[in-house]
Amino acid sequence: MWNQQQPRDFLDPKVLASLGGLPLMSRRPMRGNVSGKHTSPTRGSSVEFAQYRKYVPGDDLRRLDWRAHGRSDRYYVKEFEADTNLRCCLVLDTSGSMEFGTVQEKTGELISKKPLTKIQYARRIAATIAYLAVQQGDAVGLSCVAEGITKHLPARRNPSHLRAIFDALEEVHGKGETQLVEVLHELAETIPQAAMVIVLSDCFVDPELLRGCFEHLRFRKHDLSLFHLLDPMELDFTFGRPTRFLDMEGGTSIFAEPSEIVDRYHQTLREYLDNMQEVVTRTGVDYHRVRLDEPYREVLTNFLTRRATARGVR
Amino acid sequence: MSFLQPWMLAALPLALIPVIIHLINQRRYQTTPWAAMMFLLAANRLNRGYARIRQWAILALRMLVIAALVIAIGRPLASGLLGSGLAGSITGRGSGEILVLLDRSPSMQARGSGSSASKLETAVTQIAQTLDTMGVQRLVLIESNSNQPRELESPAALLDLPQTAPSDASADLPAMLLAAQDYITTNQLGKTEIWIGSDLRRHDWRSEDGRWATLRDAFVDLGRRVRFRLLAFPDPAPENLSVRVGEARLESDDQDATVVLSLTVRSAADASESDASADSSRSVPVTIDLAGARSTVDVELNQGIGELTGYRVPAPEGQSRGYGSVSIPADVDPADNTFFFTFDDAPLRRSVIVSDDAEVSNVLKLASEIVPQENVQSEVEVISPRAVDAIPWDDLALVLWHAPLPAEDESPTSTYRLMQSFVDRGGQVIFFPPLDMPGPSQSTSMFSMRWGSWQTLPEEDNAVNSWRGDADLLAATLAGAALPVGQLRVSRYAALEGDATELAKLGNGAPLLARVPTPTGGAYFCCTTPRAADSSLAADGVVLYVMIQRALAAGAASLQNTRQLDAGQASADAAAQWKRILGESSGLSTEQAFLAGVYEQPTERRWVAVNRSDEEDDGAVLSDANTEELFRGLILDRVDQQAGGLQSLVEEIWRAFLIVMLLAMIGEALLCLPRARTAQPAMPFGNTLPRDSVGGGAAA
Repeated sequence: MWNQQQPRDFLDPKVLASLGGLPLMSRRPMRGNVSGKHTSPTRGSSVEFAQYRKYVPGDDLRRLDWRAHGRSDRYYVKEFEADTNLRCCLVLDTSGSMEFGTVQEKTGELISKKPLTKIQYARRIAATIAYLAVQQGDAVGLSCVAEGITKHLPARRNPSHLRAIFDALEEVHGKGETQLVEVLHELAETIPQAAMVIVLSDCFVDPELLRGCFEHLRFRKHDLSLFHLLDPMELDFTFGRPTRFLDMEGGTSIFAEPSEIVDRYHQTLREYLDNMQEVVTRTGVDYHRVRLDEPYREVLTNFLTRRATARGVR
Repeated sequence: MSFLQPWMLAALPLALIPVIIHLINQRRYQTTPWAAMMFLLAANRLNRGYARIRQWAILALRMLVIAALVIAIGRPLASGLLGSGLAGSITGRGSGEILVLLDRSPSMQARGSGSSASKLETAVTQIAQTLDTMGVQRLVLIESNSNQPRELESPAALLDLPQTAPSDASADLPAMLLAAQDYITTNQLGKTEIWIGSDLRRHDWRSEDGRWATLRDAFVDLGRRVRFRLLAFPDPAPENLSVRVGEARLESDDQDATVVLSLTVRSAADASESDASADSSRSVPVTIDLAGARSTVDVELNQGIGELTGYRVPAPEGQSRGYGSVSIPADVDPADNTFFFTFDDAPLRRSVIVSDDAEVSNVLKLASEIVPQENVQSEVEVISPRAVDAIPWDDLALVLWHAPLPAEDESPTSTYRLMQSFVDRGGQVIFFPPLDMPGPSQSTSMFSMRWGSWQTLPEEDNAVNSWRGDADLLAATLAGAALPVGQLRVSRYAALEGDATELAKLGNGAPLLARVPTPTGGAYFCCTTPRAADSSLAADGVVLYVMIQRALAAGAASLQNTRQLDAGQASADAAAQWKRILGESSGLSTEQAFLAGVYEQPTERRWVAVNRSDEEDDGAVLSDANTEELFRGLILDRVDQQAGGLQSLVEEIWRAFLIVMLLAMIGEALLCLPRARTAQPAMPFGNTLPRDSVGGGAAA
């Protein structure tokens, strides 16, 4: 489907192979334009029975249930579920903070010199989901968010569109401040019909501001998933020496004695995570808190499995 | 606070080491890009107040540790007593040249309440300890007996020297300070400290003495090189009693001999204080020791004074002279509890008047002849100036010379030499100007004095302007009443040429009576005559009578086989030859002139009773204002102490700084301890949670 001569380092064939048997399911009915694996709010011609309905003039006579007429001498039309495809919109946070990372990856016996950044991790998840979605006939789009939408690829199910997405993912770098809240509001309005929106971000914004975005997306019938990416160093804060912290999003720097503030840091972080948990619970977001030292395959397996289990695989 | 090793203070900037290390450490920080800035900002904001306080507290404690260590090594001294005053010397602005002026007078032997140490012992001990602590380069002792500088090897020598032991002689502080000033000038000392240990008795300090002005000027000229430190013991001892024998004479008849004693017991409390206890008059047992025979008599004290007059004690049989002592029970000052005396038959008071003028000789004869004591005989002979060879010099007490001064002649039999020998023996001579004054070419001199011409005084200047009422022939009476010298009128006087001590001066400043300083005896020059045309000496005869009788008594005393001397009055060299026969024998022979007791002069076989001076029984001390006035313009640090005072003048307090350092180290350690972690809910991420719980939040 894409140029095999251009290997993408964010795509692991082994991971793709292991996840190939797991469908990407929507939690809500999707309004696709072609037949697919996802339920549609409208009735269709799938094999799955939906309901009986009284015949009204104009209905297709082929759908009359003659057996029911024989038993009850009434005309009933037999309706079936409609299967459609979905639009998967990947929203990738490309602000400066996403370039942070401290996890040293191990590839066999080798340990990578460059640490794994959040944007690299997000890139892998996004690419894998995009591949899986296109594989099952769904449309995939990509929006890169920093100080606004820096790149936008509308959802298409054409396999050749996948290359464009991969190219975009390859080019993207973390830079600038994040306008995640504003962009999510904008996407909630601009994404047509109900769609699956998958956000990949470190979410370093006030959870209360995110609450509004999530409710907005939910109101627009979108199925929202959030991969909250956090580096172990951000969680553990294991600095020893006095350190000058440079804001990766261009803010002021701070000089601090880590041992002096570690307790306060953890307290603040814990409050933030608790608030975030409360927000996503109340807004029905499919929330996945991800440490960068976790293998992304496990994260995606968990993501896909839960969805498949909740919906049921056909 | 001051320091014994002030150079160590140069290391105090080392206290900045923690700050420097802190700054260096801060400059060695690592820089890292950071994403989760919102948590860091919040944590830093929340933690800023306490963390900064803690950080500054730790820094301050570390600085305190180093500063306390440096200060402790610098050997700080407590700032009590002389501590603050010592700052100048100890911090390097002073010097190690120390002159110790020690008042050894009897009053310095008074003990403090509840202590066996006397003021003198306390002063010596505290000065020695202080100087030993400070360390000195040169230490010089000037004690009140000799007034001579004596260099000491170390302050500890002060404790062992016999020259710092008690004495019965009064101190002469102006003389001691003069000796100190001479020493400083002669040895060209730099910065010098003069330590004075004294009880500030007025008679020892002689604040009215004219030498003080000279001394002050001399020390002011030395500038700030000289610093005075006064260790004063001004506290009176009102419960102290003293005893003194006013008269001890032998009265004998054919059957037996009796010693007649007149003594006084005096309380140190002043009259106002005595009034309160006057109702309950107390008696003091006085023990009289006469040649080993002891008897006790009670003396009633009334308003602080008890007198026993004419108390008769049988004299040892067969003795025409003797000695003894009176003593009272021990009290706070042992130096005035005993008084020694000698007694002898009163000698014939023989005087000679050399004059050709009948009016003068008659007046002088009358004044010499009538002796106030009943049992004392007197004999007066008037001799013409042309018959002076017939003067019996050997048994004379007084010569009244109203004639031209003897011509200078060094032959042993000349009148000139005989008169000098007479005075050296202790005889008294009073010269009156001759009526016919020889011309300048024929003028002669005696004792380096020479008569000038007769001068007539105008009526407005014919009164006596001033006279010395504190000592010598014109002294006030024992009761304190002044002689009526001011009533005298002098119409004519003879000028006097030479260097003599003026005892009375006329209205125009000319001397009326002068005394030539002689080691013994007395040579007086009265510049007028008792003639009615010259003065009212005869008409207002009291002054002339007292003058002559005092000179006669002093001259007769030289004829006695016994003498009464104030401690320090005799020459120390001569007294060193004396043999002690009564009194404590703990002192050096060279100090015998200053120690109370009865001594025998080996050459003349004469007995001498040495006692403290009369002024020692007067407990008046200098007021603070007087003391400040005496040292006006000079640098004075004064510390008032009590006898037996335990408080040291200086005290090393380095231990306190070590304790401060220790406490600071403990405080620093406590602040550096990691804070106790309160049990907090587990972080949704991190090693505290099993990996299974990570991820899949809301979807679960």
